[in-house]
Amino acid sequence: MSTSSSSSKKIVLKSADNETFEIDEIVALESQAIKNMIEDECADNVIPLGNIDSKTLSKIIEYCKKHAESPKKDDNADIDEKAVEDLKSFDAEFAKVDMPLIQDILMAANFLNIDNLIGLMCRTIADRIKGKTPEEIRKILNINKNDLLSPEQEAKAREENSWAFD
Amino acid sequence: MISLNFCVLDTSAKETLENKNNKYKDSVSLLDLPDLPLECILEKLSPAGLTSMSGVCRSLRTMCTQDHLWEKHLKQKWGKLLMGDCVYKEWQVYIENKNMQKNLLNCSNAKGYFGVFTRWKKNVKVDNTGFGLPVDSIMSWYLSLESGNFSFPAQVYNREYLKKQIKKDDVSPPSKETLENKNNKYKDSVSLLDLPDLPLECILEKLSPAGLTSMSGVCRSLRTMCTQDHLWEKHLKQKWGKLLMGDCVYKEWQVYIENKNMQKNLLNCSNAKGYFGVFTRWKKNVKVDNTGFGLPVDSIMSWYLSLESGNFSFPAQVYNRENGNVGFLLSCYDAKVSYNSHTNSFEARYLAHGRPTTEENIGWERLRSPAVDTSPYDLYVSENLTDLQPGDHFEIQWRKSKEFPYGWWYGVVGHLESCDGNKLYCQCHRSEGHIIESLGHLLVLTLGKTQNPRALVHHGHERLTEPTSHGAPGKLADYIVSIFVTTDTVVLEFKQYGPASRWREVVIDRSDHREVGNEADGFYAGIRKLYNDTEISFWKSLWPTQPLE
Repeated sequence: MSTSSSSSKKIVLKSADNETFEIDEIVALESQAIKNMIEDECADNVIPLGNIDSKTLSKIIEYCKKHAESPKKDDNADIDEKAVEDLKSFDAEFAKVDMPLIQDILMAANFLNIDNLIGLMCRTIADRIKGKTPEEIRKILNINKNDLLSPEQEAKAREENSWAFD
Repeated sequence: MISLNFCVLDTSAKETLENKNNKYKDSVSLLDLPDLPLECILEKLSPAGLTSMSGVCRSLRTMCTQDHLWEKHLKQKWGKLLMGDCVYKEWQVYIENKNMQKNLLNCSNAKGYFGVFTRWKKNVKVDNTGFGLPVDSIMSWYLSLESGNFSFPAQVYNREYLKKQIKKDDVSPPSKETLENKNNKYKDSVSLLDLPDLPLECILEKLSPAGLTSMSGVCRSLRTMCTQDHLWEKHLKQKWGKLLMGDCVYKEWQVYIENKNMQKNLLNCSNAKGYFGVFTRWKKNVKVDNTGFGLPVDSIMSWYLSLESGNFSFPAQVYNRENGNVGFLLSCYDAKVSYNSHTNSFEARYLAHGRPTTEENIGWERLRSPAVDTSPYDLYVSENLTDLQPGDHFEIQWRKSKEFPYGWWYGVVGHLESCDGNKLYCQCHRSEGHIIESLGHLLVLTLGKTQNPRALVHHGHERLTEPTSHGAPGKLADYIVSIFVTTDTVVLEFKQYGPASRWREVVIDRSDHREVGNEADGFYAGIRKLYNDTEISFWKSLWPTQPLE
């Protein structure tokens, strides 16, 4: 990774598959976990993220970049409505990925403690579950076969369910 | 459940021993050995060996299930993972649950406090032979760990992400198996259930009732999670809160729960003769869940679903009963209502002229939760009747006949006949009665708009009418003073009826009002003054387009 010409402080993140990402400190601060590390001065060189792969990490950096650039709500009471809209449509686009990646992002966001991103991913998953039958949800969520219901239990669940889908 | 494990004992050891016995016919049995060598043998056995041995005969059963034999094995294989208080606590909870299940089974035929738990029963196979392991024995702990029946808290390193490494690494047998299974099942992708609790909770909180219900049918873990009360409370409040106010609805719900549980209890003892035998003929009508999977009847989700499905009828009051029958305009009657999710409306059952009647297609807006906890058959004890003033809005209990339940009717406090409604002179909120007129001299205080002087009125029992002569402020003048003889009456007006209607007004005595009326005009009883603007404006919104007769 080449160093950017910008004078701002840089942070280097290393993914589980040993890829390094150099980002502006301001972007890294979107993560409460990294922020704490920086504040505690234990983020001198490279921050290894042994449980986040490069694909997930690059998505997360993309998100943090965008959100770091956007004006914060508490900065200015009358922030540009356009900026808010812009961020909203960015979030909507950002969430258009397949379920495994969404779950990877959610886990990583949870680990890095990025509140907005956790919220966005949770909402996305909730939206995908909306209006689905248990069978469909099983496919979406990749449920462990050991955990499945017995036929009687399924019948019982369907009975409870009937009001929701009739 | 643990006792069941012994039904599938490895029989090889048994056979071995039998063979031995055959060979050694007329020679000593292992059991004839002195305790010490026998103990020594048992100590050398592996857990599998001990388990086998414990299935050989009664004596060996007793010996092989002893705690001290198992402590070593537990420590050796599981010790690393069983450190920390929380695991031990979890184990205590597990024991307690098992014992409770047994207790419940023992008292499944009894009604009473535990009746509510009997729904668990069907899931639990309980050993009635007395052969079962003591749930709190170390062997039981070991076996429940091995069988996976006992889940315990632990921390997982590098969860999910380092699967391949973990596979390769030499990890201890149990975790290896678990992880391999996981890997096979999830084929390189994570499941929602692997999410940490917080985000998972966050997702569930974002789901609608329909979403939660679907999720609860997905798998066992989600079933447990999605049926939790705290997730449903919000939804119950949001959709049903308005209609679930008041103690009476909650009481009705408690009765509903009790009935459901009683049905189950009755079914459970349907094969027993005796006191309950008499009820068993009802049994065939009742569909009971035998899967043991059913929702706890007293869970919020169950409440929500029984409301949604219309299974739970609850007390509510219906405005403008009988499809807006003019006879019921601006009234509100108690009924039992149930919801129909297809039409998003309610069915109400009530007594009309003493006969059970059903009305369908009642919209949400025509229902309210009973405003007071008084039964429709009881007189509501009016409060603060002395405060009633002209213009106050109120509801009054009214019934046609003493056998019928009361309904609530909306009205406004009116002015007395003797009063012209002018606020300045009005004394209606104080009293009424016959007027005794007399001529008197009073001090003129001010001049009113109409140039009529106003004079001091001592204590509200006198009122000035027309002056007999004009006077200036500060001078005495002649007036006709009306003196009221107090009888404390209040006029209640029902202006939805035309002036000539016999329902137009009723006069009550505010100092001693309970119920007034007769079989012809009906009976007017408890009065509830309305303070809430929303309540008042709702009544006004029901106002008929033209006066009723």
